Amino acid sequence: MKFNSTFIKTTVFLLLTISSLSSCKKFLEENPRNLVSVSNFYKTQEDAIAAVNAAYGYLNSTSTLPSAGVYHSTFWVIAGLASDEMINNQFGVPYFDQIATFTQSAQNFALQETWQMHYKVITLANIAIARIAEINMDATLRTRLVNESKFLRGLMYFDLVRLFGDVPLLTKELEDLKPPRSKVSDVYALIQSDLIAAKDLPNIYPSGNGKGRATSGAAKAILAKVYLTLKQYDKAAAATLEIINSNQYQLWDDYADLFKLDNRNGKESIFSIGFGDGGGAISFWESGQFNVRLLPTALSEEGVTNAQGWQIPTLQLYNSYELNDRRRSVTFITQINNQNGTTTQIRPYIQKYWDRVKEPKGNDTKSDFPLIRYADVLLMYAEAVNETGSSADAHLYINKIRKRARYNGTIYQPVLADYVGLSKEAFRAAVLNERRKEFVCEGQRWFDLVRTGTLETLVPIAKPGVTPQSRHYLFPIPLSERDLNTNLTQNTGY
Amino acid sequence: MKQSHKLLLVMALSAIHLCPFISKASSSINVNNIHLADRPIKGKVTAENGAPLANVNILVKGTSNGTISDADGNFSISIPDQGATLVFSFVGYLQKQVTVNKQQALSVSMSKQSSDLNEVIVIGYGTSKKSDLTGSVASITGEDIKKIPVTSFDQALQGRAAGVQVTQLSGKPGAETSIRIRGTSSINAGNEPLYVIDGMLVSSDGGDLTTGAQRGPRIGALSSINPSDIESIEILKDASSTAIYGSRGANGVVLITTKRGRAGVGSINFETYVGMQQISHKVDVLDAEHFANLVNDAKMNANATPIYVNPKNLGKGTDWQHELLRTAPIANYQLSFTGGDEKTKYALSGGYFNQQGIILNSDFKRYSFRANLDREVKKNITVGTNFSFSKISSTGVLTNSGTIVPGVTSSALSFNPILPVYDSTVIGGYTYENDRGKILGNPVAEAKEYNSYSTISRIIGNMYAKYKIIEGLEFRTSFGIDQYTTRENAFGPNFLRRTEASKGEAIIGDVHGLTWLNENTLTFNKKTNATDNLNIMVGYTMQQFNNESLFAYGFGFPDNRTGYHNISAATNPQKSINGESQWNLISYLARVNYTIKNKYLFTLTSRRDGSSKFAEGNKYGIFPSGAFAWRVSEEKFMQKIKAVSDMKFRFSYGLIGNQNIPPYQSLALVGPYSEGVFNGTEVYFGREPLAYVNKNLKWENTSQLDIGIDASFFNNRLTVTADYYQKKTNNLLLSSPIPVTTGFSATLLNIGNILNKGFDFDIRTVNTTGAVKWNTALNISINRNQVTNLANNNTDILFGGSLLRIGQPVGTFYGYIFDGIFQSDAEAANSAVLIGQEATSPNVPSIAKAGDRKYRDLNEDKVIDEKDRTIIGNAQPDFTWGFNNTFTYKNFDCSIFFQGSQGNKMANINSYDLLNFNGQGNVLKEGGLNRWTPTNPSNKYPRALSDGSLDQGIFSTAIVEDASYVRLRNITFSYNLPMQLTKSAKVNNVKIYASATNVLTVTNYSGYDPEANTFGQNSFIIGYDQGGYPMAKTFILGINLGF
Repeated sequence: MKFNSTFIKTTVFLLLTISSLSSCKKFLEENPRNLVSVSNFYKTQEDAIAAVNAAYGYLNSTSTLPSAGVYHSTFWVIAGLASDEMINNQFGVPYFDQIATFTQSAQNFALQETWQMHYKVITLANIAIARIAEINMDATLRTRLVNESKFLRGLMYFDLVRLFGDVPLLTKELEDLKPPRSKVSDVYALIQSDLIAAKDLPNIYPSGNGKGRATSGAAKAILAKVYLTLKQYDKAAAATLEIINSNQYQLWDDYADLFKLDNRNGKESIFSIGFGDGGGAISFWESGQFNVRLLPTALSEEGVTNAQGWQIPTLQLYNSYELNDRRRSVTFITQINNQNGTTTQIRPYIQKYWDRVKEPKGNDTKSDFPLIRYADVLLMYAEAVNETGSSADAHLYINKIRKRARYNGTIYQPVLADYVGLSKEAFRAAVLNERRKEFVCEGQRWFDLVRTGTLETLVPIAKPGVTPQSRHYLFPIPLSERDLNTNLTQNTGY
Repeated sequence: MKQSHKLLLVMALSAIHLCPFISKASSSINVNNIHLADRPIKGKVTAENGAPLANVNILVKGTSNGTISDADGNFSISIPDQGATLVFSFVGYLQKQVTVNKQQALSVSMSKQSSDLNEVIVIGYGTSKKSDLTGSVASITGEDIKKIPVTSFDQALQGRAAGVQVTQLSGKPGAETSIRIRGTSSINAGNEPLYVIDGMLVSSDGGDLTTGAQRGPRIGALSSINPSDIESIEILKDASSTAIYGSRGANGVVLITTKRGRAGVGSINFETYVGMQQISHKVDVLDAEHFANLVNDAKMNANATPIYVNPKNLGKGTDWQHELLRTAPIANYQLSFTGGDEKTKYALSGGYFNQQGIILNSDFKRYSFRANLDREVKKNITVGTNFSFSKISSTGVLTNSGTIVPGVTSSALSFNPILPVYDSTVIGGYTYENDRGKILGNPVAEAKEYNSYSTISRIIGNMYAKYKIIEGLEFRTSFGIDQYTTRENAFGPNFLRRTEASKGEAIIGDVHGLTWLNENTLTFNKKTNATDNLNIMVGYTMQQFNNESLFAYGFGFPDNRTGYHNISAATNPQKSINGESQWNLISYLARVNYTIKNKYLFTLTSRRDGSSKFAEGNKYGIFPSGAFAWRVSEEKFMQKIKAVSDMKFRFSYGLIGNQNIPPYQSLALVGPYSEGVFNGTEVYFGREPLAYVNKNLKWENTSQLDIGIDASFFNNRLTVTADYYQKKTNNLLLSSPIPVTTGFSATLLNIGNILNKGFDFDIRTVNTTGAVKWNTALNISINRNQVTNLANNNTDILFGGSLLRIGQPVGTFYGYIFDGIFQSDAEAANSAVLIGQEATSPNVPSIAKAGDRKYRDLNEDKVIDEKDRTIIGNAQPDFTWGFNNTFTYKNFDCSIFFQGSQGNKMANINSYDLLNFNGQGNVLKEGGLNRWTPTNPSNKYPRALSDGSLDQGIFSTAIVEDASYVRLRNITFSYNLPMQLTKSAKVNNVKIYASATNVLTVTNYSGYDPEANTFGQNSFIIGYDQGGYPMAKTFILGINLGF
């Protein structure tokens, strides 16, 4: 009897213990409530918009590593330093010293970051293109979002192919972990097809409802630059003329108006990268870095905080301007107003992005980065038609830029005479020179020098002793990436 | 629920099988219930040498009637008239039972526990006599742990057990350690062993207890355990002993047993120590005068104007390390009550520990309480609880590498010594700018003005009930929790270099964690005949881990006065971030121990785990093991060999798993990351996949073979334990760097296989037994680690200077070979140099010249590039060891403990700056004074050059150093006051002691300490030193009082 009662008691006890536990299967299921799984995402119109916004979000600043989005600073600092435009004044940052003196190796951190951030945007664009096509939503919006993604992808590859030459061409959501490099021609083929698709984007978005997103004009302008880079001058001329004839864009009369905060996305802007914290709505890291990097520390005398003067113009650039060129006084600061009423002369620093009235302390830059603007289109057109033989048209359009530079805000000054009767050769030099003065610190100069084959001749003039070589027409594939992806070859000379 | 039915069936079958023994068992109960008249008996307890023994517990067997011997060893107790058995017990002595019949007085001699073979030690889900162990288990007593004044008990394990490598990650009070049991067997985040405190599987990952808001190295999860409460620690090393923990046993298991009450007279103990700590080793950097010379030289070498007109007048300048560091107090107080009778046993304790760090503003305080109770409520039911509460409060300073500016130790080494600490002309009153270029924060300002205060409250408790169903069959169930709450506050005022961009910042972080564990086991123990024994245990357990965190922060504090106390004062509030994670585990376990003829011992273990972290269809794993031990000394042919007191061979083999990865790794998740603004006003948010999803993810498993011997010789004067093991880990999980063309920089990959093999030796000797007793304990751990297979066609995986390559150990350094200094411009011009250093650009200062570093052109292609990298050492030691000597003379005790590591290399990342003579920051004195100049042609240190830093950041043999060391870890003198003295004060015993810890370290390593490990418990990037918190040497005086 004793055995029986013990046995029954034990059994009941064990049964109770075990049956009180919840079902094993459910107990082992994972169900994170704070995150959405990929399989439950990319379902709605809002998801589609968020997927494309994710790609835009890596163009400006990011709060995640390495620290900055594509156009936050590294891009335009590299383009300026690896040319006759800028000198590095940022101590303890050897990777910029190296870029500025053409001594970079494949371990250069700035190049690694540039490579990484471009591929981040490409990955997100690939996901958006693949996933949005499957979403049941407003068809017009769907097409637009896919085309915006294609624009961003084409733009990223256009940067990459110019910086690094052959690069891995990734176009799908899931790609090989170790892709090999694709030929430059294949990369350009994708860039062109993406940008041609993006030409179907809207011409304009209403303010507060998408203004700042990629437009048809942006796609056409970048495409024009692609053609120009490929030396397909007929196509470049046709593409730029199409933009000119659309009459959608105009030059500001005054060069100084270009960088005013109130004129953001104004009539001359074709595609800009938005910066700022939205009045505190998002992280302050989303502000740009033009003022921090470019304004002289001496401005603390005028109450400017956190001006570091890390990258400064070459003196030869400053000296290349004619005295009353409006662009010189807008672009550079050479004088500090002391509190006691006196002034101090300093070497030139770049101030063009600083809206003194709106940002008196200069600390957070809310200016957008002008990736491409109408002046560029005019100069591209002039450059293209000079090559195709329409010398008169070329002169006409370059002189529009010259004219604007004469305007000092009130009158047109008697300087910067119009170009007349330049030979094809002389015109090439002239247009390159105008581009230099027009686009200081807009991420153009290295690309222009490489495109025109003038890197080795022009850089030593501005930086005596710095002698770029043929290998410097491309940057090295980052070593960190080659260590992980053994299928990547290195560019010649590195 | 299919498994549960099976389990029930097993249990039921066991019960049926047992029925024949029941009647036998029940008839043998109730013998002692008849009480006749009692009578007193007197006696005296002595040690073998005749010295009286005080405080010996004396108990009448089978009753709660007990007493304690007085200072002269005398006792008196009542016993039943017809006689009784008295049980004498005393710590460190063998328990003795004496049967009393008609005697009036007793003289009892107790012998010291010279052999610990009969010692009962804790194993997973049970206990075992040491002589019956089939697995490899190292045991450490609470006494050993207490010798060293540590914040967290894991620090005290260093050098105490063979096969256990303990690395202190930082000198910060309460900081984490990294423990490797038999090598690095996994390289994902979870390489640390499993910690089990009184049966509760606790959270031991410091990452679970923080939101990251606290500054500096994070506080170790184990620092909330009061080391004074610990009775013993057992470390399970081989597969046979860890397989019972299944998927959590791959990295070894550390079992902690806290003090419990014993039957006998209650005792009260008060223990305290107070002491001081100082930096154990300062790093010499240049003083003001020599720094100024260096800066001038650097400028002139770059054709620039010198800065300092008359360096001689600058003198010594500021010693920034001296300003940042301090002599810091440490104190511990502990009051405990223990006692009990046959039915109830209790141990209650309360402790207070206060340690200030040697860096300003880094302090640690702990309040802790514990109650351990056991009660026999019915004849066959025992219940009990282990319950502890602790509260830690800590202030932290940022060390290691930091964002915006480096940590305070790096800054203190590099900051311009010419500048003063304070500058009353600016807001805040500190010198902020290191005016020589390198961006640094004033270390004193960063330490003192950046406030980081965190508290952790933690309850670890469990309750158990044991039900003896019949004799030999016991059911045990327990329910336990590990609950912690962390609050982290931090505030950086707007004037600090670190926080000037954010214009001041405040952070508040909160973490709430709860683990609960339910365990049910059924144990059957049966002596099948006089020399054979069968023990079967089956069980079922469930565990759940929950963690929730909230992180709120704001930027822009025009007013610094309210600090983090008013986060809503932020003019630029930031989004709050919260997180949740949960994982669940269900396990079925079984173990059979069978002993034949007291000499053949078999153990079979199996555990089946189901883990929520695994992908669907992959959730369950089975982890079996088997062991055999042969007590050869029990064989007849051994009886004649008198020299051998005991000898046992052990063999074990088993498979263990590792589920120690973060949850949700098998799910592809989308989260909000990027944001931005169109046209200055239209804010937008993006959502994107959070990780690169590896759909082929498999779970890693480790198989381990162990062959061991336990032997003692010459009447236990020499005891040796030696083990050889082989651990093979397959399908290693590693969060590995991946090409960023994927859009991500790292993902969890099954990257390959690792083999660890090695020897553990533990040798103990009793050298003298006369008036002076001298005992020695030596342990040596030798481990060889090798990557045996790498996924992706065995191609190298490289992260910075750390390489994973087939055939090489984890922790292999990969870089350039530093080949001395160019002695002439001509030599430099004709040698292979780094890209960018070639003589093609004549005026660029970075051109290689006399005085620059030379690197070896391994492939002789006339250029130094990535192809010239090779293996330049590894962070794995050849062996680690501990060596302890104890001396006893009369009432004096002395112990001297050495410990060390041999053959490991360290990447001294600090040298990137401290051996870079560009004048932007201070440098090592040795290198700075002996840098290359035309008149002092060094072949080790390069020339000063203000902007020629081209080889900065080149990972080479110039920065990889030998980090072997020998350390006098601890020396303790103690004195037990004679009984005559203490008796008059009504105190049972008084012990006074003094100890010194980390007094002496012999090493060639040039940094603060050869033990630094900046990347914490990361197993792949090991052996890096980057501005860590320096180690302290500690001197204490202590007293223990027993009432």
